[in-house]
Amino acid sequence: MKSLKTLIIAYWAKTLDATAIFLRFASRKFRALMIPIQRIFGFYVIPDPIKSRSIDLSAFLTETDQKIAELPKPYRELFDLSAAISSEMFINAGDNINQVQKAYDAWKDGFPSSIAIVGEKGSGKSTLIHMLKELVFTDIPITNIDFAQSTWKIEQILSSLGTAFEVSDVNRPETLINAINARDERFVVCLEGLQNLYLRNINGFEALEALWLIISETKEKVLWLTSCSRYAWEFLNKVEGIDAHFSHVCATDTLNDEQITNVIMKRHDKSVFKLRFEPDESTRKSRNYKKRLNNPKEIQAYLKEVYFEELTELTGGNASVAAISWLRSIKKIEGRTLVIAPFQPVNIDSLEILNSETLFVLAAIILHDTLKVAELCRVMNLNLSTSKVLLSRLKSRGFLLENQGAYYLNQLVYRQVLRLLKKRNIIH
Amino acid sequence: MKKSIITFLLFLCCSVVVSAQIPNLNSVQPDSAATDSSSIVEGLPTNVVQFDELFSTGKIISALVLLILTFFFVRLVVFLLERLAENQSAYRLMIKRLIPFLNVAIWSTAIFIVIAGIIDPPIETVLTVGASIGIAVGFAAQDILKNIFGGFIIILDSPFQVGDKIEVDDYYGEVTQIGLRSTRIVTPDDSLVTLPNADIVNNAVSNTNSGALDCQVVASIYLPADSNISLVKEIAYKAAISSRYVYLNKPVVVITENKVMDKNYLLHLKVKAYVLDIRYEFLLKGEITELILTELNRRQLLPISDLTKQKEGA
Repeated sequence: MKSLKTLIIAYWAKTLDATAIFLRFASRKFRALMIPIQRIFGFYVIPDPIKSRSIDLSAFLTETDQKIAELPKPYRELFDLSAAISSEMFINAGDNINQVQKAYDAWKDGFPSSIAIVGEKGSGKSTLIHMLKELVFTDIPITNIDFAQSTWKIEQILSSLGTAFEVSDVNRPETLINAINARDERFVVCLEGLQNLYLRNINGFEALEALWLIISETKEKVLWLTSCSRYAWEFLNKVEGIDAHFSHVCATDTLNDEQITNVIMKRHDKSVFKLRFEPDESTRKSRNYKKRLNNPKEIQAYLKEVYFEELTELTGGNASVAAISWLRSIKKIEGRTLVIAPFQPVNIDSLEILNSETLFVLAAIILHDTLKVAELCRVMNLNLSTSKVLLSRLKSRGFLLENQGAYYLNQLVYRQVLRLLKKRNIIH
Repeated sequence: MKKSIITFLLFLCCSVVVSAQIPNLNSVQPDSAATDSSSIVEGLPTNVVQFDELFSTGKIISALVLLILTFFFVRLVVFLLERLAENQSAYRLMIKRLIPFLNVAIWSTAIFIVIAGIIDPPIETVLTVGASIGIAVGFAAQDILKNIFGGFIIILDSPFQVGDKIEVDDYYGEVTQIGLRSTRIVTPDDSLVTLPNADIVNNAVSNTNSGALDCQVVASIYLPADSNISLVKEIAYKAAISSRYVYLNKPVVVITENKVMDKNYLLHLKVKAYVLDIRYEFLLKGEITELILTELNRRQLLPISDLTKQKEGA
């Protein structure tokens, strides 16, 4: 009798235990299932660690700077995408070099060609131009013009072009056209920063209009090679059909995950460091990871693949954003091994609560690449103090960076901001 | 929200307990005093007994519980869909237009369950009661019925959806709700106007955006007939494309018309552009007008007003 009672008690205890485990499991599964549903309906509350990071984005960015500064200088320099690179390090997106070669050959045969290189900020437009100078335009004089600052007034562009072509007293486009066409030799003009030649304002298109006139009248004498950021190009195409001025348009922002892997790994392979990728919690639990547990090499190959897939997806194939994210992922250096933490994108859910005025400022900056306070006044038709307040607020939150009074979007949040603006139909 | 859910759940529990108890009481009573009750029932006319069976307390409570449940369910569905619509900008209008459909569908299902599932009357009763109610209500509430039929026609014909900007009679605004009796719109000055559905069905309805997030905005400006037309048109076009509210995936068009006003010839400048979200409709219209007038003033292309002349004279 006693043994039966013990048996029942034991059985009961076991049942209770199993029920508790099942309930815990079911509740965890249910919560996991509810998160995407809550997110869709807008009820999702961000868990504390991510929430604190997303609110204090500036602290996250400072941490990024600190982390990158802690890395060995030669390694950091390898990932400085603004620096000139050798041809072996170059990733040729969409066979751009061949396209330009064809355009150049056609121009040499008398066909009036002109080329535009279009891509997001940091996607490698300048690098492509550098490579084109080294590989294609080897037998022809080149004139370089870089519009790094906003140049939207006709006097400004005529003065800059006059200096570049060594023509004095240029007060009309025709003066410049005549001077260029009077030259004996044919030449290439590399004009970078087309996005800085306009201002989205009722009087902000005069510089660009002058440039179109100059390009169309000098096409036979000059091969125009220009670069323009993606969203400025899209805007100008819609309002005045910019692509009609160019016979060849090359895109640099179409890198796939294999090309992004190459951009990073070609640079990394120049260093002496080995790599060790760390799995995140979900990867650790995945079947793919578990079945490779007895083979460390396979695990590393798998983790590398997962890392670069996520990196490409979240950086939208943008090489500079990928490079910064890579440096940010280096957790620590153990001897000659770099430990790579799982890819963690910046969570900027706080963007969702920004008002429409602030979103329009971000859109204006994306359309122009960089804007000064006075320029923002003209673009948004605001007064000076309001523009200052809007820009400094975004700067203090880490969305914008400032260089000599010109504000530009932080590369680390570029993709997320873009996604939000597209979702709100502000950039289309 | 939480409070109302808790109250509702408490109410639901009480109702279930009460409805469970009532049939028991009914079933216990005949057992304890079978002879008395049977004699009482025998004494009553047959139709009264049938009516008593048809509308027993249990059935009424069950029907009420179901209707209350439906009411809260409809509110929950509407609340969730509105949240979803606000959270998914691209599908906002599509989700919002589902709301009136679901509203009608859920209520129709609930009423069907009450009649066919709970009350379950014989077909003769349904026909008789239906005809009687039909005649009585038909005479008493002709206008309401007109509106309800109007509501059905609006839902089936879909001349507009929730989220569209419509103009009926002198009222212009965004449709916020399509009900069975009336349709509600919010005018630009934030007034809520309730339009009876019968009036909407019998009048011409102008729909500005027909379900799209963008809609066309027309800014009109009157200029002297001797204005430099090509220059003015160029200014107007640049003003439209410079506005932050303009949707550039659709064309911006500037047209001119000749108008006669007070025996004077005028140039009527019309700028047609699309706004990126109908919420900014009037902001776009205002901004285009302001930009054009400011630029025309700056270039001294507008005639000087009498007031300015007086000021300058002084």
